Amino acid sequence: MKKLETDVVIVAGGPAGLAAAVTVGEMGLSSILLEKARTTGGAANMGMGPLGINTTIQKEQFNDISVDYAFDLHMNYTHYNVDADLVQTYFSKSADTIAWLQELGVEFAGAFRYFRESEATWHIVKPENGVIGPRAASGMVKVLTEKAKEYGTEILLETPATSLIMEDGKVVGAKAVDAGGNELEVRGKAVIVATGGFGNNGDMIKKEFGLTLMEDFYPFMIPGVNGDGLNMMWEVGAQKFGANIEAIYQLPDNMNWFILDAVLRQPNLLVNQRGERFMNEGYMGNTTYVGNALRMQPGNYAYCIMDRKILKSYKKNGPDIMDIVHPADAFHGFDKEAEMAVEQGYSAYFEAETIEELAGKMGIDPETLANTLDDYNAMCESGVDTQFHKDQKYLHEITGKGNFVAGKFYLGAYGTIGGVRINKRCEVLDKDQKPIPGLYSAGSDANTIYGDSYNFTLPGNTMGFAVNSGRMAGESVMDYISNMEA
Amino acid sequence: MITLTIDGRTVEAREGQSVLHAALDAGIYIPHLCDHPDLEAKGGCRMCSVTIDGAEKPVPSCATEVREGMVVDSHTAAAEAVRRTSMELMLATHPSECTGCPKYGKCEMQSMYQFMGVSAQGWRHHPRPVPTNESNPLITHLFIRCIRCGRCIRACQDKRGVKVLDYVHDKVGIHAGVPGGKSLADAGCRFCGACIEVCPTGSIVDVVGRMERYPAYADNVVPCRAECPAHIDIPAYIRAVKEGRPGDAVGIIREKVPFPLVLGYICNHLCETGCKRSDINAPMSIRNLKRFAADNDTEQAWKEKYLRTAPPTGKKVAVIGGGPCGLTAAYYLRKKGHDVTVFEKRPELGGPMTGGIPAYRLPLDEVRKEIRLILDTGVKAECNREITNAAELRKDFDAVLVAVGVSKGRKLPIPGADFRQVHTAMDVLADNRAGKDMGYLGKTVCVIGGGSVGFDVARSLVRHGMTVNLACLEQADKILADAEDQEEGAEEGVNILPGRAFEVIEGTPEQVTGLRVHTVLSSTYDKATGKVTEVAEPGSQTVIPCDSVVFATGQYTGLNDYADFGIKLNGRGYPEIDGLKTSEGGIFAAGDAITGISFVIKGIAQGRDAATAIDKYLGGDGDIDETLVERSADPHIGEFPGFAALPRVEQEVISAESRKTNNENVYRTYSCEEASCEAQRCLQCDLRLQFEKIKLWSDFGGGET
Amino acid sequence: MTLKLTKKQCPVNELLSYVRGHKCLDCGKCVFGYEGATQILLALEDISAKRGKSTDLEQMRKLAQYMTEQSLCEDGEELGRTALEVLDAHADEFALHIAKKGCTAGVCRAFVTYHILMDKCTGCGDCMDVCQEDAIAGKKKFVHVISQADCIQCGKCLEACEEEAIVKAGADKPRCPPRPVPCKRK
Repeated sequence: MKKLETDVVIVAGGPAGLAAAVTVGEMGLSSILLEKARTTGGAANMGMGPLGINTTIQKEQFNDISVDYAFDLHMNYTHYNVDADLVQTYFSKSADTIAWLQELGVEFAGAFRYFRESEATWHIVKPENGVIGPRAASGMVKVLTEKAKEYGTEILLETPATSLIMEDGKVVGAKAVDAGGNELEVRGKAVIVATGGFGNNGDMIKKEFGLTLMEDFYPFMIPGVNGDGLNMMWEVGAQKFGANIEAIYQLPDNMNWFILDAVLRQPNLLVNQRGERFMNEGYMGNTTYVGNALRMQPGNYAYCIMDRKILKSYKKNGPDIMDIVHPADAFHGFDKEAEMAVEQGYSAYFEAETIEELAGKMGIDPETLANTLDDYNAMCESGVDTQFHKDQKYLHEITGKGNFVAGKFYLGAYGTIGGVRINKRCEVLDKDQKPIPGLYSAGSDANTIYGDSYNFTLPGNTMGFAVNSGRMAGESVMDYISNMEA
Repeated sequence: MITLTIDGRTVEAREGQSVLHAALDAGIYIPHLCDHPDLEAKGGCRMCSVTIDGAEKPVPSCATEVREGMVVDSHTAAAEAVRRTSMELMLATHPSECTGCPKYGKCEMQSMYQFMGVSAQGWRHHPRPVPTNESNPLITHLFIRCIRCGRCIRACQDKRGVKVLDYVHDKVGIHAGVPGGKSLADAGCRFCGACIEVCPTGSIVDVVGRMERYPAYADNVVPCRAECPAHIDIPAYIRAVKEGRPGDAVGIIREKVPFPLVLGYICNHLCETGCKRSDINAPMSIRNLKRFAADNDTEQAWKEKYLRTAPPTGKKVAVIGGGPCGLTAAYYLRKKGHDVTVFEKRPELGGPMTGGIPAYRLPLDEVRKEIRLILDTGVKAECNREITNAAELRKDFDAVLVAVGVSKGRKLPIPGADFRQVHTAMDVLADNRAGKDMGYLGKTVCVIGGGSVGFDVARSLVRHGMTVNLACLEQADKILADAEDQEEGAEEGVNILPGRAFEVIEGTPEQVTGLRVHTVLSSTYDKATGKVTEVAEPGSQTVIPCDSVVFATGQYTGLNDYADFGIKLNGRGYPEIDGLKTSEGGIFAAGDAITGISFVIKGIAQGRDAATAIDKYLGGDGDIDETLVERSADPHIGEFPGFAALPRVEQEVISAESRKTNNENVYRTYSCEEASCEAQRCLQCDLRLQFEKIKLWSDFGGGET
Repeated sequence: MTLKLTKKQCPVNELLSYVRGHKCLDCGKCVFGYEGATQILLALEDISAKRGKSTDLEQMRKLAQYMTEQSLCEDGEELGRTALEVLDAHADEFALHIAKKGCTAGVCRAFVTYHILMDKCTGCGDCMDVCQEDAIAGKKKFVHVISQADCIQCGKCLEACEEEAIVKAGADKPRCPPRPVPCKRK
């Protein structure tokens, strides 16, 4: 078995692991980073940027938000069910982290909201042509990767860690296996684990949440994000704590049906399998709320119904709810994609001439659905949603003109968060809430600051936590090693 | 050599080399997507645009040959602009997010946009949805992710000559695919996987789960080789058979195992469980091809190298036990230059190969030929030498290997088990193999145990004209022996009685009269405690009349029968080990003696490991790998309509009526025609590994890019 | 190839037809040829449908230039050259479309509006009957009015009207009442 020696062993090279690598590198420590994929960055390659609070960028845009305000907002949102000290440490650090990233060479296009009701905390990385869009954060990944290498981090790609090495009650390294199938042992003074949760591991998802992939749950699944880090930390006695999903909602296989997804998620008539409304559709921009609400419905799904007349008005006047991910341009491609969906028998898209026909296709009792629609249309006409108080501007009568169209939206998730408990120094705690010497965790494996629901009102939160906790872990490791040597 | 300047560095390049590859070879990264080092450059994507000698218009470096004194700049504003625009244009019609892509984290395009930091938002997003096609075996198509680089098409058309993939124009636009909407099988696909290997995005991928079985990439690509305990280079020897070179095939096999003939007859062929052709119709008949090769190896061109040994090391090694494991270890240790002596308690070397496995499965002559070759290397053998204390032996040798196997048969502790006419399978098979008169068993025999040993006994005794009942605890669908053994045994007249529990052997110590059993509806075996819990069928008790009983119910090492074997043993008589090391320095153990009863190929694999471990212990490098036959594999496999449907060729089976009267082998070896028919079914998965792995930006140097 | 245009032809529409029928869209072997043609086509479709963006002209011009230089074969180069020529020769007309002001030749459907003339309408209801979009308001003896928000410019009402009260309009629109008023003509 090949044996390697370094100061800090970093398990996985997503935004947390990379931030940790740069941080320990800045302080002169050597590190070896074990990455399963062929590229660094993990989930950050599909994201757009991290959260920042009270940053220069926000101030320049007159969009500033104070740490106190964000902290209160977050703690109220989570009902103090999360570690306030950890939240405070992270939020307070976030502005400095944005500045730190800028110094490293990351450019930001600005601070953005995800949807109207959210705060402008999302610091989206600026692509070379300046026009922001999906995958923007991959530019940050590049900068962090290059910096880490410059500071001497040895990045071993296609070399997943398999277990932690524990000696005399201390974590002193990790075992890994390379692309050739050869085992290696990497020893260091401390280990930082940041493998990004277990969003791709159906067995763990079933076990932890009772959800079945591709049946009642359609999350983003990033190959390789299989809970490796959590399993190895649990194995050495880390407390199992706070694992959750970052709930969203989407059409199944939505990458193939992106335009349908974009259009049908507009705030029209949302009904469950019983044919009943269950929420104020005006909140459909808040993917967490909708995800949570779907989880309360039979089968974890619901149908969002509209008609082609409404579509026409969207094409002409723009959609009701705008967000950054679903561009308004897409609406013009709806008919083409819908035609294809019908042709291919896509199971989550419905078209019908009459409400009875629609109900039949959905397997809903036609009378119930017709009644729900009648009630809804009456409310649209009167301009008052007496049931859930949806804003009048979203109340468009659904007459079926040009036919009814509907999508079947399922509970989804960006991935999982949490699993181990850390303190504000990112030390991993055991069952008695005592730190396991030498073991640190950052990023989504250790992200337990949301409680029951992802806090979408502060967008960029997950990547923000990853980069900030990565830095925090790196700094703590420095202290740990200094004390060890003192 | 040509000297040119790329991005300010002086670079040496080969004549005719492209500027792109001259740069990459020199460690200078230039993004590139449609280019692949093993395929003809086309220059369609323009990602590799560079400025040459200050010219205004950038050119694709993949399709530009190096010239003496050329000055290349990949970072000019013009080159960067072309590259960026190209990437943006591709992203504009690519799925807008990477989520759900099976190539995430391994995608060349993902790595490249990470490097370039581009966004397609300035263009009109125009996805071209193509339904995911999971209906083909082994290969999944997700052409919504196709970027039309044409690499798969060039690989399929030019490199392989299979000509299945092409540009397809459908309603949404153009993408790579199978024209006419045919299935891969109907289109004549040879499932070589070249398209998967060269696809830079997630458009053509292995079916889910195929690439996650083993830690090593190569093992996932070539699972037959990974499954073989000795990792014989199976695709290479099948290719040799196909090309009419059975001798080379044997040479390739002998690189890993010294018993190709034996394995050709009796290997349990784990390789076939890995064979990817199983997903198309049926696995390759790998074992039978091995036998064909061994049977037709007339020139033995590998022989000289095979027998060559390293200069003497002056170290002496003793191997206790001359079975597959011991002989394999002896052979490789001898090749490493050690002085090796095998101690065998029986009169003949070979262990079960000469002393147990019946002739109708494995002809004696064949085994002897192979043992002879091992001895030809200079391995010494002392037969009829039973070693009762390994530590004593160690005093005269630098290292000792305990490879005694499991030669002692075990009886079930039921009343009557100690009667004179109650035997163990080990003893009966040894007598049978030695050609002794088996009359002592009487006319009717009951064999207890349904594993392959039980069937060996039963089928052998049928050949002596006896009436044979084979009873076992397992239900009919759970019988341990393989299906062929059961089927052929039944054809030959073995009366199989599954689901029986054994109560008592009836008769007197001098004369067995029957075996009392009852029927069991179900039984469970607790591996941890070794306890069996059964549900008996009420009133099912019967006596099977017989003259003798043979127990085929397990074997053990017999090491704890000795007063002191000199090494620590566990309660069941197996050496206590750490890896292959025993409690005593310089004494190693391997094979069935540590794993319990297993198959010959496992024993051989253990023998190889033991040779490596002992050689290292003696100061060697432990490297026993050897190339006996130089490989060459033509990547151009050509068109083959109907390839997917080619049926598995089975060996001809001699009729039960005829075979049960003698000890001839049950199967006839392939004819040349049958062998080449079978060999050409091979998917040649290994060809995929010939492709050079594309380096991503992050594979280049430090942070200076 | 050069596109020769008469006054009755709209350069946006002509270039659109030319690109739509171009070989590059049937090939796919190079990025600039295929994706370039696709983006130009999409931009022209939008411009013709009154959805053009202020950045489109410059972007198309740049892209067309790249196509002349970076396509894998002459087809893409030719497409780029032709597009450049048309864009340069008719920059004003493109700008007019993009500014959503009109289509001089009256060819691009999205720029044409339909109107019911107050002094000719008899309030017969024939046009209302054929309108699939229910875009026409009115009742017996009242001048009918087309809702421009709902009209899809299909032209069926124009064919249905026996009084020749319905007209197409480009940049200059006739004066029409905002809602039905009693008919002057009996």
